[in-house]
Amino acid sequence: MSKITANIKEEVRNIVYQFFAEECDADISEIKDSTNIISDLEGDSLMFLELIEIFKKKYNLNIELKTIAKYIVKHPVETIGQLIDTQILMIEHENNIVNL
Amino acid sequence: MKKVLGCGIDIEELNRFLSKIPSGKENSSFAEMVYTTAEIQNHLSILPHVSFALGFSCKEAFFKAFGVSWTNSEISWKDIELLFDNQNNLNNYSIRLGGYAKKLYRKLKCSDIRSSLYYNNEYVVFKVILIS
Repeated sequence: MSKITANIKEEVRNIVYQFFAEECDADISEIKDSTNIISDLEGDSLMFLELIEIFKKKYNLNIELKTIAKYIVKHPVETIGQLIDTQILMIEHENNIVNL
Repeated sequence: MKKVLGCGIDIEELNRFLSKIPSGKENSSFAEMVYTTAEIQNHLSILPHVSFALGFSCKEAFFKAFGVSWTNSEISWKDIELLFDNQNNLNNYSIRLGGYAKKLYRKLKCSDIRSSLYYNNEYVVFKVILIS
């Protein structure tokens, strides 16, 4: 578990924006927190898994996919902003995210 | 009379999986998240650049056939396992359902699975039909 600083929040935001700009061949200036991952960017589950892998490696996270799925069932992720918030919670709480 | 209970079809680009094949030097956390140990060993021994993509496509096709996703049900990627018999013909394979996928299969009163796959140098396609 990590204490979330302003730097980490900014880093997560930059990684997510950069990732979707590259993967979806989109102009990064056109991506906003309100951008819908599926309908606006044509994102898919493979991208979502890739992003989880990136954050697991970068922050050495101990978190299971099943745990993430249980959290997302209760807190759906549709927009870039929601995804950033979820990634930050994953870094902060790891497997305990399911108890939030 | 037999009835179609669900149908799922999925297409994946091969090149998106090339970096996800675990090598001896480094484990792929993606592979560990998505595939069972048996699948990783099997896919590594049989045309890895195609088999990992087909394995993923098979799982996605099942999610669609069941009408669920990994983020809105208890089903896990590892609940659906695709194992190839030999590398000479990727059409010889078996599918094993475990965990919640198996429960869902029984709950829907499925009695049979029809599936097929296709691949070329760029894409893989997997199709699943659940039969009563």
